[in-house]
Amino acid sequence: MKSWQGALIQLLASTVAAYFGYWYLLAVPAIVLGALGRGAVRSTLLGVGSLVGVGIIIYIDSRDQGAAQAALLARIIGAPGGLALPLILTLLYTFALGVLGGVIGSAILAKKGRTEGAGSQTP
Amino acid sequence: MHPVRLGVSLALLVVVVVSGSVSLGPLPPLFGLLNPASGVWVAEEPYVNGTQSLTITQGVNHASVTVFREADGFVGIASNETWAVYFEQGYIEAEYRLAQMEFLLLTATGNLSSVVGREALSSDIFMRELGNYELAEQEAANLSPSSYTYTALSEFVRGINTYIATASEARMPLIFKLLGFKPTNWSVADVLALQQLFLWENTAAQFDPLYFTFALEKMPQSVVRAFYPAYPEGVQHPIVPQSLNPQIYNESGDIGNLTLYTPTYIYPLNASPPDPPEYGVPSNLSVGRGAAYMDVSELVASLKDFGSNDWAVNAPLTAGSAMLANDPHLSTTVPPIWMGFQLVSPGQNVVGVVFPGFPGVVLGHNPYLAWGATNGQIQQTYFYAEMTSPTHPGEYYLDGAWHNFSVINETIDVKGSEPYHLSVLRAANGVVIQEKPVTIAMDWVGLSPSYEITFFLKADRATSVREFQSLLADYFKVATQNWAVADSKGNIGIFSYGDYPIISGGDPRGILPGTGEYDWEGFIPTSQQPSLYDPPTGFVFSANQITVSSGYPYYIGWDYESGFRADQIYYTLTSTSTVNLSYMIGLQLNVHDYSTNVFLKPLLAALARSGYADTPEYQALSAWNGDMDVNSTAPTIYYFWLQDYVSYVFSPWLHYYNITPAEGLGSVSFFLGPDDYYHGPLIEDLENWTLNYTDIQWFSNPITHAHANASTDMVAAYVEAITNLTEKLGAYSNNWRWGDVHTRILTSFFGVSAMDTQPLPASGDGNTVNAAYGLTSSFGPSWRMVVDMSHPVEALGIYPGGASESPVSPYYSNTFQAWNLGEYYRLIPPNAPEEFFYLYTGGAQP
Repeated sequence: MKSWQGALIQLLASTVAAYFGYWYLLAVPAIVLGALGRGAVRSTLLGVGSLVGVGIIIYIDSRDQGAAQAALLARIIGAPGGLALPLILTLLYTFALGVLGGVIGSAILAKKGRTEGAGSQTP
Repeated sequence: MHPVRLGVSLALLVVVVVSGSVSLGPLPPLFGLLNPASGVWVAEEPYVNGTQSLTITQGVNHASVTVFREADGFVGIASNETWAVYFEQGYIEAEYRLAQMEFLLLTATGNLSSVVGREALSSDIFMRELGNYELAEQEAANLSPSSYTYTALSEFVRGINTYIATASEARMPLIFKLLGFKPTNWSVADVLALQQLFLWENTAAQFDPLYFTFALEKMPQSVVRAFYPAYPEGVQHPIVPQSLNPQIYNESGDIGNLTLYTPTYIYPLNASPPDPPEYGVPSNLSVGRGAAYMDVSELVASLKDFGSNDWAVNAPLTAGSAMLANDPHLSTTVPPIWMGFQLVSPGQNVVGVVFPGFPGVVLGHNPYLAWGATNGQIQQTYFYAEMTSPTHPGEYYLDGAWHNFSVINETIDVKGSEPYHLSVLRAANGVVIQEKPVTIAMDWVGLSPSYEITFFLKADRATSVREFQSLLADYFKVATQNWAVADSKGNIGIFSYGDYPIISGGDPRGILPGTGEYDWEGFIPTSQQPSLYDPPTGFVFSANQITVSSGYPYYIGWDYESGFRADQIYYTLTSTSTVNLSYMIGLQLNVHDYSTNVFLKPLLAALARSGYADTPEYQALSAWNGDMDVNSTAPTIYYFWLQDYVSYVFSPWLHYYNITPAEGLGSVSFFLGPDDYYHGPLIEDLENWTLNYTDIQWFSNPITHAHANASTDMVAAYVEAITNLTEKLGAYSNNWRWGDVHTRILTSFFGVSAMDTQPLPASGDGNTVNAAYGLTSSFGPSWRMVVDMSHPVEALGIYPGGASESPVSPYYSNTFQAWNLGEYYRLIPPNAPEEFFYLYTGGAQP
């Protein structure tokens, strides 16, 4: 599996997971993809895939005053910058779950001596 | 396998998962709060204008329903089945006001602490002491299942529960997400518990006798008589003057047996003063776990009536039609304490406003009748010091014998703390609100089951003033209001009906001995209660002023509004021979401070004598007409001067007699409370003395022994006001314009300041008919309505805020600006579907 394929699958998985409210489980598909890729899938790209998938759902919600509500939350807790803090926190969690899942998956099944995302360079 | 990498990444993942799964400070777990599918990224159900047709099915019953959502905060519901109208009303109230309803219910049932924590405990304890929920359960059990009230309530509740069952977690209000709160099903008793909360909050006087005990004890009788007369001297325009209804003045009542200037019970002054429970609610409460984001005291204050206006006119002031205007003054919040509805079903087409959590319409009109209310200011709480003894634990002495207190054990769940266990004690003469240092019981007419909600539901369908009057007599017992009414046959009336306790002796203005001699012996018969029907003057009116003339034979209370709004209404209605709807609107929006008619001329004369005539501040005042306009500087000077004048005269005396803050100094109107509500007896005294007794001894300072009179005190207060204004605003300039220092704001119903609206410059003050109490006013006309009952379909109204409680909705506060500018909406808009004109202009029955 190539990195972009893994990222695409993670994007789809994260979109579905976020849509159904299971975004906190994003590490699970990332672990699976990381393991199936056996070190060939860059974890960073899995993180990006997660981020884009969740971002799509947030964007859809935002058209229905979701972004305004997130900005209101920031005001309530006294955070400056409008919706920046809720958005950064959401995306940070998303990215971290994707990346860490990928790293864990690749660490479980990666062949000895191979490094993540550099499958073609190993004998 | 890379064990090191695996171990490190697993550890990091655990950190991430744990940090998202536990509460961080005041916030709930971030995985829930930030969840893209159900957290903060998803807003409440959007409010969308337009018409919707649907069918409601319950078992074998089907109903066609039309819902007409309007931009002005009103929702029309029309159905061929009455039950379906109430079902849909419950559904829609829950859809757009669920958080507000739930918090009102939590408050009413004494469960707020379970959601917001320990800081709400004093409120919960008091609500448990009132027994709101037990009473509500009794009231629900007493209702016949076939009664109209039960049908309406049960269908209304079914609508609420249907919404709760079908609404997704994602669409829950933001406040729920912040608190991790999930709504549960409502019952008929829950709605009746809200009724109890409404009744308590609209009960005038409340704890006043606890405070006034100290005036009675610490001041000589002559001072109490001068400062706090049981019936004020000077100009009064009672709601029901003797000249217009002499019949109610003819009986013998209880007032001749009472001693209204001396204490009947002596509270031990070396002990701590009584601590009225509700006001223990702190100003900053917690959302989540501890941050000061939420002011839950707003919740209990939002129903409280600080002052209101209503009046009705007919011939000879009109050509024969009857008209009505009403603007109840409550907290102006977002979401508003009102929601607007038009309810149409066979035999019914009513439009007006209702408290979220109530079915029907509370204030409004139908094709035959329009009604409004102001608080009657009637004393319906009496306080008794129970005689107890260490040799009779758990007992109190009454009527010559020892009796057991009845005990109700309660448990209050408290978020973040152990549950609080409470034993509520009840005596024959009330519920114990304090055990030490003195056991004090409060008797309140609302401690027995009553059915004010039945009154509202039946009034919605009433067809004449007489029928309305009869419903009032039957059902409206607690929190007496001055109900002004006008009907399509040209009749008007005003009725201050309710349970008025009668006692045979003592001073009910303070605490009474609880040994039995001073307990209630009954209530004033309805036929003797204040009322007017079609008076020859062609108008009835009220503005929380004194209810009756001085010859009324019963004691009914004493702490009324000072009467400037009433004066303005009286003179406006008596200075014309013709009233039309425009005239009514002009009066409702009037911002002339009538106190200037009393004080301004003597003030200017005193200032001129003291050499201030050449100052720009004097010039501004002398050129002023007394209107509290935003663009004028004189209102600012006058407003601060009047406050200073009241304080300058009375503050030394209250200190001289050692009235302390713990005894109410600065917190209740008769002890110089904040300017939001100092419009009580003290300012009436000043009015009387400034006009008629300019050298009376009370102008002098008892502490410094400085001799003074009205002129010297007015000038001294003026100097103080100008000095303070100059410090705050700089030298006199356009920066002193009233609109620059006086604003209106809609504060968050939940006390979350981030959810407040922006303030708007506002005319008026606490003395104007168009009232705006305080400098940043969040009290005022919470609902305005004017109706000509010869054309009720053209009735106008507005409430500030909007239909939706979601702060991000365009319909959260969209009517605020229009309301502040004095605009109105047609309550039945011309573009409404045909069924909404049913019974008005021949619209088809739905």
